[in-house]
Amino acid sequence: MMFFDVLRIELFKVFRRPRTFIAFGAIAMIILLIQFALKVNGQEFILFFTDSQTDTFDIPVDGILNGYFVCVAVLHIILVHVPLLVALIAGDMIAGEANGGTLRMLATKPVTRSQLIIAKFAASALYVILLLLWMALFALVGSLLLFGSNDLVVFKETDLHVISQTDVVWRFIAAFFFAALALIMIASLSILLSVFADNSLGPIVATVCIVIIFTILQQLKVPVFEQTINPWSFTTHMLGWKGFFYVEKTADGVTIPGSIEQPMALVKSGLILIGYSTAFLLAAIGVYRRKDILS
Amino acid sequence: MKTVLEVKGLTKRFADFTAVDDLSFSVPAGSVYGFLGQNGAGKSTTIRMLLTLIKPTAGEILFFGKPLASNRHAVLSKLGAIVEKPDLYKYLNGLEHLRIFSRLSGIHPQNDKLKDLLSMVGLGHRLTSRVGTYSQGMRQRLALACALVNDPELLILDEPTNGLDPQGIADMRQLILQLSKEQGKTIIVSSHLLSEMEMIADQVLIIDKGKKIAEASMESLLKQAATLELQQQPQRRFFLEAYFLSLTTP
Amino acid sequence: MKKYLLILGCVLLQASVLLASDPEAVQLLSQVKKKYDLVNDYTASARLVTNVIFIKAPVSQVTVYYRKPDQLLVKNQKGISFIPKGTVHINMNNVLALTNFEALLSGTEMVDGVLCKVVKIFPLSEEESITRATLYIDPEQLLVRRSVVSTKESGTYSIKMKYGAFSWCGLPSVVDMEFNTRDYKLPKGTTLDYDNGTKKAEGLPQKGKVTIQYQQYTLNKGLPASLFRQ
Repeated sequence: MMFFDVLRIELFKVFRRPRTFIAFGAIAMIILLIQFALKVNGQEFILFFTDSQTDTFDIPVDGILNGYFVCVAVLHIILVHVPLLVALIAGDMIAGEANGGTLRMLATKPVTRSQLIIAKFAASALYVILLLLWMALFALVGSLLLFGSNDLVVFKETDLHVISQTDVVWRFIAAFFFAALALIMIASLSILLSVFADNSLGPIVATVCIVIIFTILQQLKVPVFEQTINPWSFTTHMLGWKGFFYVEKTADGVTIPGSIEQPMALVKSGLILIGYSTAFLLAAIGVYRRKDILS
Repeated sequence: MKTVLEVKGLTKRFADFTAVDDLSFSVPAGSVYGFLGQNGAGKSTTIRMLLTLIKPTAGEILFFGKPLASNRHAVLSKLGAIVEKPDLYKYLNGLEHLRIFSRLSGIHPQNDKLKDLLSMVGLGHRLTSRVGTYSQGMRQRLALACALVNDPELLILDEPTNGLDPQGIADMRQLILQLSKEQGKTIIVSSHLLSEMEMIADQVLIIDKGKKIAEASMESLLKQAATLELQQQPQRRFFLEAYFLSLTTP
Repeated sequence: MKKYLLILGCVLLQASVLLASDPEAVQLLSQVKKKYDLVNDYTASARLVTNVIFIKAPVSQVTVYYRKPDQLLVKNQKGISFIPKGTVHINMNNVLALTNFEALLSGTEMVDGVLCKVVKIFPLSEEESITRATLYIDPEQLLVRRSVVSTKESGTYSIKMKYGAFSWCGLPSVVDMEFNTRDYKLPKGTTLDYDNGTKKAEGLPQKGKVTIQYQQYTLNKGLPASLFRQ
């Protein structure tokens, strides 16, 4: 019962801070801007991906530019930047309180340090989920209202996947769920870094830098990194939400409805993300329990 | 006399220095216990160890006869504290603070009780204003209300009159005396204001460089101070100050 | 005199064309064309199966519109299909409607168990989009079983046809069309793909195939030209 009281208090504090709503406002703005840009320049955007094939195929540009495509484009852009918004809240959880001097007031109450960290983590996780629901509302529902619905075309580096519109919605639900796993992992990393700091700027910047560095390592496709770091780098697995839009096909080249290309890879990625979240959280608890609160 | 707090051989070593060195003292129930020392003497470090903010390197702390290490929840449920300058959530109001800290203490009082508490500390007219709009003195009062929200048996107040104007200091003094004498609460007060300490403390502990220098009732300390030559000097008007400086100044 | 010389020149030119073509090939084509000309227009519902190495697509339900002589449109009403540009050549009238060409018989060949006569067609006009066509014609049923059509702008298409209930007017039940594709590759980092361990198959020929399985034809009801203006 005490844990739920602490969780309620942490959620109350998170959602009473004006800073929290910056993220929601920013996401809404970014999504609307992307939707506007695609409404105006969507055809050129699609032709960029299909330029090499315009001699061979009639590209159904108008059909491709539909609400599902726009939603994937939005997620592609936003989920690179949302870790910053998550770090803004999670990185402030301990360090912000230390900087503000309120941590010592919390720590003198009959709440165990483990309970406090877990409650802050849970509050961060709920914040992430609400952020994603907000994103889903604008990115998916909003895009469908603005652009209509049709089959979804997903452009990969070396191929493209067409998914029937009757086979799409569950993929978005799964993708958002996976994105939540990824962002909760980011939150747990931020909380771990927050435990070491007395100022929230450090953990926030550190989290973003770590994500950027590992993303660059992953995209460089240098063989030594691909064999050693990339398979275990959390940024590799954070992109797993896209995996729900990669479909299997038969030998005849026909996609299999309801299928996912290499589903075990997604399972592995999910487990790795959960593993990282657990490890970061346990480390945060371990460090915080031993830490002298001098702020 | 019943002992609320007993400290035995308390030590805290940081990487390059020893902040508290083999400190032992005991606090009788229902008393106002003064905690004195120069800046850097180890007072705040000691208080932080009492409140589990810092882990001792060595020693034992017993609250209400129970070891703190193994009874943290039970002990802290009966404590209230202000540690150094009270920092609060600027975006929350006074009432919200009390709700939060009461829940963290495991109690769910009605709003009326919380409002009464805020009135007691002189904030009845500002309970729905954000703390960001409070003066330093008002924040000090709110911090005291937060420390009292769980009706603690023991209050630990570190520099409770910090930032208060003379009226505020007088009000705080009256409140401490009221809580001690009328409600029987035990109060540990750490302060630089020796004149204030002279007026409120029943027992005094003086530490310097992390070590205990003196521990006695205020009455006996003042008697000892009166025997010193210092009191012959006209500019030394305050006995306790004179005695304190004689003990702690090289 | 000049006038007579001009007329003589035209006659000789025409004769030279007819003399360069194989009369048997021309006659065979003429007979096939007569059959295919029974259809002025049609609307057909069909299933489109796309088998291209870099495209993963579901089976699509499409509508095929045709208007004589050379207008053909494949449309996915409810979804998305990547239609090869050469699908206009699935209708043999595109080739059969040529007027200025050379045609040669080039032996016979078995196509799906049917012995077909191979007719090679070389358009003589520079303005034609088709540069060369080879038709494998079933002489008994006067049906084109297979065609290989080379175009100026869209490459070469190899089309195989199977016939069913509408063979009487040359309309196929199944069309398999193979064509060359260009490599599909986007710049690194554009799509930030999720690495699920799938490796791109290397060294495979860059060929694509679409199969159109006709389900129902509606013939000669009249289709507006505006339908084909895309």
